[in-house]
Amino acid sequence: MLSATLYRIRKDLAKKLWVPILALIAFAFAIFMIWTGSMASEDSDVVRNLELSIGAINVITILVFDFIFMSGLNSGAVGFSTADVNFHMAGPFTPKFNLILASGGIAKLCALFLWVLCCQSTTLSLMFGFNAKDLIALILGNMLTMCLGYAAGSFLCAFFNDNEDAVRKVKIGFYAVNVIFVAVSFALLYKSHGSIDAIKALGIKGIISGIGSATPAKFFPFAGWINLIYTGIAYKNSFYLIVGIVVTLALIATIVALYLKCDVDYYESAMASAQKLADLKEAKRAGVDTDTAKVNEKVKVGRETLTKGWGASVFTYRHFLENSRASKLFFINYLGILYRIISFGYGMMMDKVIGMDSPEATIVAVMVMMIMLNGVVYGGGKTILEFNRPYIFMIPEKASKKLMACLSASVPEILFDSVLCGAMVMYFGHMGIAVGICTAVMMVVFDFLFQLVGLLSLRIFKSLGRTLLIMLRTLLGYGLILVSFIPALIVSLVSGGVSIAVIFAVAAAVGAVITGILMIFAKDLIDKVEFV
Amino acid sequence: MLTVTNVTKKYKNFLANDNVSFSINDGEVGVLLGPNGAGKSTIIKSINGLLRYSGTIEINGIDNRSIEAKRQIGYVPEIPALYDTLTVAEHLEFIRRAYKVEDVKRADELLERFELLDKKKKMGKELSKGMQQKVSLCCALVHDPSVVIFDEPMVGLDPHAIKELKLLFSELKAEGKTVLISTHMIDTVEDYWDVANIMMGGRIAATKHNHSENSDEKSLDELFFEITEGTTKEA
Repeated sequence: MLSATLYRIRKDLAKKLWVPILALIAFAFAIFMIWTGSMASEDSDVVRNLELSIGAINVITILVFDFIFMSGLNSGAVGFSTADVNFHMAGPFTPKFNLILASGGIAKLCALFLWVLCCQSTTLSLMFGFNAKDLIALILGNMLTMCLGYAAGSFLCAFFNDNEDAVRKVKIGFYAVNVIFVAVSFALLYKSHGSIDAIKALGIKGIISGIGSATPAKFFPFAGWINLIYTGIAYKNSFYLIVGIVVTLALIATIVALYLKCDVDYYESAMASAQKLADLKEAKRAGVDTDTAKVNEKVKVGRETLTKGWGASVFTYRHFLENSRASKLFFINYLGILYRIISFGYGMMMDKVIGMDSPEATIVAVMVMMIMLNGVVYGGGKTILEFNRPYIFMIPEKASKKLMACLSASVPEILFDSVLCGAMVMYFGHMGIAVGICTAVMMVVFDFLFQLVGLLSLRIFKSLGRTLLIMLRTLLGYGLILVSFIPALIVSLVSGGVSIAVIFAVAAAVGAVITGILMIFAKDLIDKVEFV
Repeated sequence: MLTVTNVTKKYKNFLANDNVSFSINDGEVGVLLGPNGAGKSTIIKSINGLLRYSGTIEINGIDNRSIEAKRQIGYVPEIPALYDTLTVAEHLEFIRRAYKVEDVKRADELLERFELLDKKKKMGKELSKGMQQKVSLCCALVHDPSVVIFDEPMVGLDPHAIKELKLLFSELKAEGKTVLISTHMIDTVEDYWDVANIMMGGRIAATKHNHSENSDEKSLDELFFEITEGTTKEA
């Protein structure tokens, strides 16, 4: 059974040689990031605080456990494809073995999350004073927590397959554990500091340190138990170490025993969800992107309808109509708003971490986050989705006219989004309107740059497959934006420092030139791209 | 009239269409027959200007990639590609406006014909596969094209819609339009085809005309199985 599955995986990998190569590069990069991260803590003036480090590790691991356990509980039986249903469920494999197969899907998510965590090593080191040992403990602890957390969640999902009440009770229990943990942790913090104001005065780091290193965190299911091992090592406390090892081993043994001994019947829901997955794949083949399909799930027909546009311009009005249906206002992109909220949250965090003394550093951090997220939103925008349907190719208008009609449909949402970006930079940097305007103009330019890179990637990278295409177009977009900043940085270095507004204005000007060049290349793209 | 001359299409090292040539006159129904992977969809996409290829394809004597030729083509793709959040009526309105068609009644006539009037306000995502196929058919016809190309049009349709579609083929033929149907189901086209091109391995393996007076000739069925079972023959 296992050998047949391994054979299939081996064959799959042989067909996609770039996957193991990319994985190796990613792994090497992660190691490099951990190394540079640990260097950062040694070089910086951050004083190592063991309580803060342990506290931060615990808090991060608890959050990761919450996410992964719920993923398993909500979709434990969902990680199956129709091929799995046809070959594995109908084949001579036990339900328990097949359940393990489903974890393959979540393993990719775990690997990606851990890689992102590794890439954040420097930030974590600067924020919490992590050294190399802390970083390794964080990665290993999270890896184990994710594996066990998902295994437990998906087992419960399968075990209570046809009993919604039981699943609801498990969820209530899960929320209760979290609420109790937060309540008791804050109560203890209050008890030791005496007032809310004293807790506020601790700042984010102090609160994380207080909550993460307190006793409730050590009792927190999975995450706290597993982290006891490192707590024991760090504090040279053999009691914590032994208890941590024993409890973790017991946890592993319990989950293995559950999988081996309990009867699980989840095939029906697995088949239904495999069908859903197959439908989504087919929709994607027909041009409906999965993310878009999710966003479109709740869209309803309103009073508005298609009443404008003639020839190519009907593309613009159709996009407006679709936007209005998705978000009530034609200039609002839901995904863009979500990413702006994330950027704002990140900005708040960086503002606290970096401090009020260096607003420029906060601006840079927020700007990097906003640009990275916009690379995702606009690099894969609606114009690109047009290329998944035959209409844009077939409608009897000039290729450049059709392309411009599609691109111009994104102008209102780009303008709105860029104004938000400008306002955020003004807020976090405590800067004037000039910086806000320069930021907004720069973001408009970069958003169009991302769109054009995405479009040109269809021509250049389409044969490489969807995943590589998305990866390469994103990297290419980021690369060109870095290039846009080079002249501004040179000017800044030569002149001994210029204002942020000037840097952004120069970057916008260079970005506009690059965007213009891309536009020339993309002009007749519709005639050159294939609809396969 | 549709003329395909020496069209070759390669995907990396795979030759999907190898020097394909055929033509269909006005008022004729041409069929492209062949097993899965024979290259039917590739040539159909090339005719619609969706792929790059070497060779020549002309619609009424005009290069198929020109704007004028595009105006004259109607295409029903194999997999309906509707917009999720556009209603059935809006799909037709989108195509009408895009093709600059002044006649606003035609859309409703098509919807009525394919029993979609009561689904006018349903969104693309809410339709079954068969319904989506019907909308796709209406979209291909709303601008009254002179060359209509169908890629596996019967898939997913209910018996009534199949009957209506067959009637439509006959009407298009009577109106002097050029019709090309790609299928691997011979029995669905046996009543109204004029010229059949049987594809195999990316090539036209045989061409057969329906009005042949030679009674000794093999039937389309016989010819198809002879070719697909290994022997290439000109009919």
